[in-house]
Amino acid sequence: MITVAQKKKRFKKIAKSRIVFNVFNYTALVVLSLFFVVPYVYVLSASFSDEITFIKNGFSLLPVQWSLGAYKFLLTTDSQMLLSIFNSLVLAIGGTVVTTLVSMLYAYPLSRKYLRGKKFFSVFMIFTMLFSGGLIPYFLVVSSMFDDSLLAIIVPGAMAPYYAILMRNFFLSVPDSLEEACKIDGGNNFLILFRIYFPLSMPVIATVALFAMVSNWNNYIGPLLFITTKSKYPLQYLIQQLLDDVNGIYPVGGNRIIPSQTLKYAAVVFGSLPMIILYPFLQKYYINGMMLGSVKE
Amino acid sequence: MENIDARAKSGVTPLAKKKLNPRKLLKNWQLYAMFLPGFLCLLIFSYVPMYGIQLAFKQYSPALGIGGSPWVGWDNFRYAVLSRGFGKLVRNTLALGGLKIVFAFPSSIILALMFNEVCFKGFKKAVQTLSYLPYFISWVIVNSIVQIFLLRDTGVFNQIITAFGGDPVFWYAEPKYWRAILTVSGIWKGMGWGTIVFLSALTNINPDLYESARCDGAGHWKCCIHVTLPGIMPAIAMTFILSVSGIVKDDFEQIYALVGDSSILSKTTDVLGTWVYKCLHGGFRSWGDATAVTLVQSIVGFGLVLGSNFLVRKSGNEGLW
Repeated sequence: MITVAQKKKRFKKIAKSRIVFNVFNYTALVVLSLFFVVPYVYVLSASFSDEITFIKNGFSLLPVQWSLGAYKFLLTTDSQMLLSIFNSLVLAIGGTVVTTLVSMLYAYPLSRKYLRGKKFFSVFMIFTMLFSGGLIPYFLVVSSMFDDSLLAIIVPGAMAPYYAILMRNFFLSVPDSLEEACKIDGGNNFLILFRIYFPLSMPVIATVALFAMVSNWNNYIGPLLFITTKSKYPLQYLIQQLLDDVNGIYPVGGNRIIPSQTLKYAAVVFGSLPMIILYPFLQKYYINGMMLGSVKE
Repeated sequence: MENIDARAKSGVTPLAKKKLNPRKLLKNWQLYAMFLPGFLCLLIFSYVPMYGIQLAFKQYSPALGIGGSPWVGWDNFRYAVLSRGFGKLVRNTLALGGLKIVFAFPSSIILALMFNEVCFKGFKKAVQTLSYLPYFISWVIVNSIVQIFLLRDTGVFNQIITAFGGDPVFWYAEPKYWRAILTVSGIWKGMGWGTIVFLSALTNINPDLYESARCDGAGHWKCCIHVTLPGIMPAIAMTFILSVSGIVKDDFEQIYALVGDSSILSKTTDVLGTWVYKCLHGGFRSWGDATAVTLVQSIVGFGLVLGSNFLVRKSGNEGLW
């Protein structure tokens, strides 16, 4: 028999180990948060630093001397930065609209249980997720169709099997009676999809749109392979070139000084801040959307 | 003969029933039309490149095209394997892939379990949100961040080393550090995002299980081992199947962004993917070899997915299919 005193002692012991664990756990999570965020603080700090003091002091958590010189240089010296921002916006918005639309159109019939032949279309799609032709044949196909154009990135990415599966799973959860009711009222399939399923599926549409936007905005392999003209560079590709060599993009002219180090980080801020501002607002959507993805047939 | 015709006309034989009903197909033509854009995309950008795999057995010549180029049998495979430095490429690919499985894969599971222990909701949500941040940053931006820490004169690591009186390290001239750098940057980018799957699995665990375990005298750790882990096992198995082919499929995007064409670091960072990319730019003569290498990678990756799926099912868990 355990006496009350013993029980109390045991409970205390457990509570103590629990406290130790909690202290450890919270500390570790705080350290991890810093691990995730501090690198980006350095980016922001470098972009707002004054070039000369920056070179003397190196990277720091806060600028030693604040300056907007890098941003001013990027936005006023020539149009390359603005052009690249524009290209990235075209890529992100155009790519997102096209990908969401095409994948949704593929997903909706896959979610209709009565449709004959949907198994074929399903396998036809899933096989491409497991096996691919590889870089060289892909390059040959795409470059023969689109030469040095943003379309070479948007069109091949229009159909994304993973997004189609996410959307199909969501459509499956919408009650069939809605479709039947609309059919009785004389609605056709396109009307049913766009007027009924589309508005009801906003959580998954938002998820897919966010994923598509992030992957298009962050895409640099596409431009690396298919884009050669400087005025067509999207932001990520321009940044990669800047990191390698600022003078290649902004040739030294006359007695102008390029704030070469801080300029790189101002460009990095342009290339990353939009997504960083966007993602916390859509968090509840994509977390639910990801969970749907793990639902099996 | 007549008999069969009559039966077919009446439309009641099993034979007639099994046939596709053209009218029904026609009635659903809009649904089939919806497949069309995606179908064409997959056909042109996924299946036509698969047709191009035959380049692995051909000597490509732009004038003759993919179909017209002459067959060379297994020469491309032989040439690729015998070419200088191929062993290094395979070694690096497997090493980086292995490190990814050993460190990056469990990191998300551990982080999810840590989140699970936090009772304070606001804190949990804040840390979660911060942990997703790196996922939304491109590898190019990660490159700029890696430079912040590693640059020789201005980098943070060397600032710290010299502050303690050490000699600055030339990170960009020392291949030996780069497997670790690539692995850590991979963990940084994917760790938080990877928790989502496991967190959703954790919320699906029946709370009654914890209660009954506690009644049976299970302490905190026992609960974790006997309730939580089995509860998220299906999610772990699924993620494992999906990530195991990463051993042979290199992260070209990551490596090329962080290392570029650096020949100093290539000793530990050159992988099959970077070699294929070099072939792409090195002229069409080596395109056959490059296709041969990616074909082998694809097949081995596919085999790994099938194999791990088999193993997961064998061990009593639910596989992907």
